[in-house]
Amino acid sequence: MGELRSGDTSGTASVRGESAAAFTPAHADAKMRWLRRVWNAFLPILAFAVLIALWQLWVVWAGVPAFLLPAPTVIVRALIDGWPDPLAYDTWVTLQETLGGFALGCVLGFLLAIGITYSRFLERVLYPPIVASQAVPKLAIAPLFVIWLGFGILPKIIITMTLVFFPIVVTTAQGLMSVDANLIELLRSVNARPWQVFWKVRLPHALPAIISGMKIGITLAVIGAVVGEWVGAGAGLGYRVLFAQSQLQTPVTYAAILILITLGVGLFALLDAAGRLAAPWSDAADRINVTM
Amino acid sequence: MASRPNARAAERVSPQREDDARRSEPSSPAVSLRGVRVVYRRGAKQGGLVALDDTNLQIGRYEFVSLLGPSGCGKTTLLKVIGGLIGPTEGTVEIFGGSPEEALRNRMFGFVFQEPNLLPWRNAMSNAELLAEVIDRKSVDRARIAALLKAVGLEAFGESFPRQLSGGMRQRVGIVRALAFDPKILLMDEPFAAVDALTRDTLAEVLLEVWGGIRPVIFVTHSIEEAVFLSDRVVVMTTRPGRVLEEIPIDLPRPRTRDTRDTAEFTEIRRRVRQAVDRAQGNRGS
Ligand SMILES: Nc1ncnc2c1ncn2[C@@H]1O[C@H](COP(=O)(O)OP(=O)(O)O)[C@@H](O)[C@H]1O
Ligand SMILES: [Mg+2]
Repeated sequence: MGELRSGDTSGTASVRGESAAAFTPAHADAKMRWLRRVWNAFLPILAFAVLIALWQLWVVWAGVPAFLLPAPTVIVRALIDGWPDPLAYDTWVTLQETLGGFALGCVLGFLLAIGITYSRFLERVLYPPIVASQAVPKLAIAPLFVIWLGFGILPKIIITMTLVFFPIVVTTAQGLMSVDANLIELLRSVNARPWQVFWKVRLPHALPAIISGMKIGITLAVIGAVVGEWVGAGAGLGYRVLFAQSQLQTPVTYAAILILITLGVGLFALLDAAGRLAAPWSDAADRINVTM
Repeated sequence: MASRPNARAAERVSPQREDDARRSEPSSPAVSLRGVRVVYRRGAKQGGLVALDDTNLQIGRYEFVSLLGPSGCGKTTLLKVIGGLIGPTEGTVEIFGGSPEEALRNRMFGFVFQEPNLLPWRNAMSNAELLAEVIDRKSVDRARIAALLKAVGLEAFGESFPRQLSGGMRQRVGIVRALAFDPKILLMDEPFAAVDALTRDTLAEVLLEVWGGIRPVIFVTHSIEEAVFLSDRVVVMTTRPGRVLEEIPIDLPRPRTRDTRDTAEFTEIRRRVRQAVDRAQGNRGS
């Protein structure tokens, strides 16, 4: 690799990296690297396209009926026909449930993590039921939420929340607690208040971990919304998957699933980008080159 | 005590205060420990671990004192007792005539640990401001911090982030961070143990420069050479439970430079300290 990681430099002179060019033929290398990057981005797209083409060929060639496995072109047709009514509305409903449950899950997870971080008692009291709650199959208890909370958006949000808060608790608590003991001691030596230690050190230190937890949480949130819709709903992508299936409209089922995937991936990518902006120092050592 | 040759460097970062202090209470020590014993609690069955026992130590107002002793003899514990982070099980500790807790509340201590522990999301300047900011964000003396960064040779690196700095540079930021709020006492726990030998010698010189003889420094180290080079007095401690075995005054003239290490006096004192350390370890040598 022609890149010089900034962490490796130890002398005063080399920190600025002017000398990097001396052992790296920069121009020849730059072109190669650009080609490699294009290739790296292109490869998964190509693989995906090949897969879709094979699917299409096989369905057409073998004459598979659409209610068993629709061809990609048929799914796209169903998507166009179903937009905006009913798929756009379904998407909007599911998005609300996903984001609502995700937000509540983040808040709950965050508060629990703070409790666990600051109190041994809470840690001992809260951790077992939190872990146990994840062993409960969500689909099995989802009907209970419908009985308690009705058929509206609320039970879906609550079910989503129960899935989302767990990774948030675990990653946030781990992040808040993993601050070096000497650093805490250093702050204590100038009589720092606990809230100062929290805002100036613990929270920013935990940020990369929190963002990781949120990235796991957002993918779970989409699943939570779908599960919530499956036990009782009149709209939403999860509902549409089931309903279309019962009508043998398999292409519509696939179209709804396609939107769900897009939703999950899109929200994940959004959080990923937000995370890079919010905590540029995490894994930055690998991305930032001294070579300019 | 004779006037400090390095006072000019110090004046840049700390105006005059020391002269007033010198006049008001000329003889009373900055730090005074009498019969200090520290017992760490372990599991209920094992009973306590005696880290320090019957430790007596006086440190003058402008004195640079090094603590030398084998690993686990209680040097860090002693530093934390002085800094009010640990209460002694027995005995008394006085900091400028008051309790260590009181001194801690008054932000009298500047700590430097072995690992600089800089915050990766703050640049060097901002890291240096951390403790001053915790004390009072409105009265952070940025000019002072900039002057200190310059004094340790980092004036061009204020905007650099920790990952862009070498280990030695990071520890310099750690020193500036400790001095940024003009503490009354500097407490350093093996601050140069994690940097390479060449950088270490340079850091020692830098430290003397910013210290300037205007405040007491208590400096824990494993290096006899470093202790002799830096100190007015070297305190040799015994193996656990730690106590003071010997105190060796270092009357090498200041300012001390690279050449000081080559003088016959330096070699002679270093030999005496080494013998004391050998005695502390029960004549095993090392
Ligand atoms: N928080 C603690 N709890 C229990 N034992 C401790 C604690 N801190 C230090 N010790 C023990 O006290 C002894 C002295 O430790 P320390 O002061 O760190 O020694 P040094 O700094 O000289 O290496 C060691 O045996 C160490 O294991
Ligand atoms: Mg120690």
